[in-house]
Amino acid sequence: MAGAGAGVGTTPKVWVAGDLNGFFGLFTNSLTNVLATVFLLTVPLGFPPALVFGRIVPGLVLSIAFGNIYYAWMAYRLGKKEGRDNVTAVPYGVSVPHYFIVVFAIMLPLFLAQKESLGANAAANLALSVGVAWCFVHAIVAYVGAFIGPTLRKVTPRAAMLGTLAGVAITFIAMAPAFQVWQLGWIGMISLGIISIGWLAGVDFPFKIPAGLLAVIVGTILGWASGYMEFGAVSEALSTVQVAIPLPQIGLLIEGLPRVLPYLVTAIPLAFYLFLESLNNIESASVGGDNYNTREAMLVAATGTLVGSLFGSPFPTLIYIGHPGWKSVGARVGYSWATGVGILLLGMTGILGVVLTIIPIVAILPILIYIGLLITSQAFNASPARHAPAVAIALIPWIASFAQLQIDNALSAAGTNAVQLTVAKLAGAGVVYDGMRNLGAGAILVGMVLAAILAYIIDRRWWWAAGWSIFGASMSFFGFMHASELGLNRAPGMELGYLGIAVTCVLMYFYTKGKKDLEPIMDDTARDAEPAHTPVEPTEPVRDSA
Amino acid sequence: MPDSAGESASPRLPWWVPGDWNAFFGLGTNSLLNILVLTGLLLGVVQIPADIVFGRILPAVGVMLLISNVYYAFMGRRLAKKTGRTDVTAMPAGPSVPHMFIVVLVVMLPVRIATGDPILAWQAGLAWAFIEGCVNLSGVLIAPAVRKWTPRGALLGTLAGVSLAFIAMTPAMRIFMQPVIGLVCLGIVFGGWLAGVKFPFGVPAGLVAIGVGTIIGWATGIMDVAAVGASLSQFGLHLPVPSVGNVLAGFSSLAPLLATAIPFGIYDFIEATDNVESAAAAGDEYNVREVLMVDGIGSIIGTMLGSPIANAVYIGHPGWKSVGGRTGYSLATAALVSAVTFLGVVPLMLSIIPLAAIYPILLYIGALIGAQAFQVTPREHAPAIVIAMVPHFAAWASGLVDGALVAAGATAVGIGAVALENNGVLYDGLHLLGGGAILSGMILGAIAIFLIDHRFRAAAAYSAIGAVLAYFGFIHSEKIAVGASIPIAVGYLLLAVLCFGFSYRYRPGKSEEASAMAPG
Repeated sequence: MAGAGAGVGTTPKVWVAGDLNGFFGLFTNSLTNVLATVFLLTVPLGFPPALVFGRIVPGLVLSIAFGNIYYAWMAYRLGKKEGRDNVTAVPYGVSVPHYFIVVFAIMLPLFLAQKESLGANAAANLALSVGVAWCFVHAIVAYVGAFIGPTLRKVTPRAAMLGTLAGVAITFIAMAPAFQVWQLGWIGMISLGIISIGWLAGVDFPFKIPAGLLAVIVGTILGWASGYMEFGAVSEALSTVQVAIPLPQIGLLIEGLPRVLPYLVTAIPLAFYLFLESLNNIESASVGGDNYNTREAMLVAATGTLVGSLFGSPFPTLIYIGHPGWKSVGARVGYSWATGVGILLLGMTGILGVVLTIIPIVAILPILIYIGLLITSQAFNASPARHAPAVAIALIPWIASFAQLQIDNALSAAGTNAVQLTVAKLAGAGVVYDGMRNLGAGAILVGMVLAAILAYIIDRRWWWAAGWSIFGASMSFFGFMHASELGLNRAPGMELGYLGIAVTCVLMYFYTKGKKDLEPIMDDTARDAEPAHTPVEPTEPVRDSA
Repeated sequence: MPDSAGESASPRLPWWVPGDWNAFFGLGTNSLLNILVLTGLLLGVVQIPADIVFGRILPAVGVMLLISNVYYAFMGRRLAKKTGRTDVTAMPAGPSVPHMFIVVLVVMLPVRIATGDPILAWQAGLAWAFIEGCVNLSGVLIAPAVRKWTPRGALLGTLAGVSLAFIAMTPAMRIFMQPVIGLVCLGIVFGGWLAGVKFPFGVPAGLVAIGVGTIIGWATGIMDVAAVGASLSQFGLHLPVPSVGNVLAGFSSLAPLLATAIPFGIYDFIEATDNVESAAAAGDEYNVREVLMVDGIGSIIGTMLGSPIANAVYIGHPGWKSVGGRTGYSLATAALVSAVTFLGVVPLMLSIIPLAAIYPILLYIGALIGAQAFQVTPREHAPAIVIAMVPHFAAWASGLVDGALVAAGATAVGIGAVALENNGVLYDGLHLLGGGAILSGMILGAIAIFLIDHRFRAAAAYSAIGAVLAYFGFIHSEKIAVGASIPIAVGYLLLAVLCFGFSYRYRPGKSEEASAMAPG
């Protein structure tokens, strides 16, 4: 615990011993996320490696480095101003749910739709341009977020916001990695166990090795010892290493901007979430004793995302959770800039591709499973306990969307597709394909709208429920949800269904008006705020990303 | 009952309370819905002749459900008298849903395709169900131990996974095929059951939803008068006939598939155990052995009469309790189900009530069970509940992927795992994670809970159990065999060693030590 407690009347140092702990933790965390994005871009998405390593990764690492270095400088200034040497920089990096959403909900469908007609390179470029524009929208919303934030927060129940994120988390974040972990059980499960012991049980490993790093090391050893990894792949990757300097790619952004319109409805609430998450984490830093200028810190987070989108990265960034944890292990200013510089160097030298041939990806994936579990748990724990059924409903469109993707992929492997086969034939085999498609289209919005309506019904706030139903009706009418493309009345009947709920809620309002036992519930206390059922021994703070 | 003290404490225990309407409409329609689905599968997929479906199979299902529902109502009344309470709710029972799909798609369909004989397929299903019932019955011996040594979050978590995947998903998808009916009914169900709105004249919310849904269905022209007329032709009294010969005949064509009945028998009794746990969490403490005994015996009797599907203790006790159901609903369900199956009115009901009006009730139940797992367990355990749910989503999705491939006239083996993986389907992982989901969800949930609570030896014990079960293929495998899933067994074993090592680094407190020595 280097220098904790003391320190008033001193000046901050650029590097202290405790920064090594922080660096291991934050750097591994960022590296894991960057590796995961590279994995998603190259394997499920199938983008050409030249595009991934030559254009996307340099932009991504530049945006991470920008934030990490700026926040280190901010912490240094704060320390100087207050005469302390124990100011800790806020941790910063790429947002985990967002990189999954942009890959699976935006770039993958676009890429698959255009691959046949345009060819892989042009289709990847097109998909990336929309992703970059989507990221740009996040930056813009993060800038204006400071002003509209409080209002949006008031009208959206936490169960709706967090519930739909939990839906992405349990399906697209946790499931696909889980399949891989079980496919290679002898490597994956031990990494999952190490992650669980380190982060779920919250205990220390010998020599304070960060759990993520240990999981990767043990997984790598098992992978090589069992003969699963091959030297050939390493040398092949080494031969293709080339330096890639981040370059502005304004043209890409401009190309994507007109096409991002259909995604605005989902981008705005997600960007809002990004903004709130950063805001919460600055708040948690000030609780820990480091009072940063909130507006400046928020502007930097937005600018980091903007830098990414200007340099070809579709991945928004944010201030990470965990400032109090890094502070407690003695990290100050150094861990932040060192992480930024380290990530930047790795990304620019093109070594990431080599790293992926040395470390079995299945050793890293348990970290994603853990993140999926945590986000889903948070949805249930950070909203009032009575809203739990609404959170559960928010998961459902995502599960449908996930299953549909599996079915579509399996059919394409069989050389056909759902349209050719006809939904009637699929229904005969027990697959309710059209219902699944209706439910899962625009899952992020469907989950949020359904959960918001149901949470307000649970609270007997009938007008609010009716308002969200009308919002749902209009979104369905224009094809933002329950339809595979924008247009008028693309999913006939959906808007009528939502209007039906609105009418039902208004009738309920008049019917229950004046009844003493049916007054609206306004109490918004989260489960988190209630006393814990069982005490869990406090050990190390749980570190997590995003 | 000789328990005179209990009787004097409750002078009057009504056979019927208004809330029973709610629960009856829910459970009755749920059972009915499953009978309808089963009818569809038998007629449409296996192509068993209508006279066997309506004359032999459905009456047998009716007898099975009659036994279990009546007995569980009796158990509920006995518990009420013993504890002097009037708010005891009977355990719900009905035809087992995952089972239904397995026996039809995995057992009966292949036999029909291989032999071209639907009768042989039916016999094979009966033999399979018989084995399954016997395994289920063996749960009487070990289920109480399972319940004692497994944390509540693990049992409820795996149940939450089943209910979200297998109960809520299909109704949710169907709702969005007829949203005008489905969404309005969903609003009514949530308003009545979660917001606590009482409807005029005490009409239960479930009935309001079905009524409104039926009106919308007929007013918008979704329903068809001609179908009503056509359905009348199936009327008639069909009484169950013993089919022991058919069960025996089935064994001959089924030898290789029989082993698959074992995990499903285990599944059924674990699920029944989970449901007893969920009832206990809601305040009604039943004897798990007695519940299982009735469940197993009912199934075996049903099979002997010709039902290829098993009885199941249903998920949903807390839901029915919260809407006011007591014991009357269980008896009424028994009466309804027997009337429907003996009289051949299934087609008529299908032609009058739009199913989209019933689906929201199932979606509600699915969401409620999912929510309950989080609500009644310590919030620190939430990640463990989520991991217990994950295998069920894999199991559900892998069933759909297989179904889609069948529709495309292809098989996973034919296409090859590599081709599937290149198209983004991790077919092996999907099946490995989903295989034996009810058990693997429980084990993963238990390991995670014990880790969260720093009970490393208990976590090690559960990991070791996971290794054994994986080795023999009860979990993370499609078939039972020695060495069925060695890589995963090794994974669990390494995990056990790791957890055991940590038990030396972090010693639990004294009180924890005793319970940390979980089963060996």
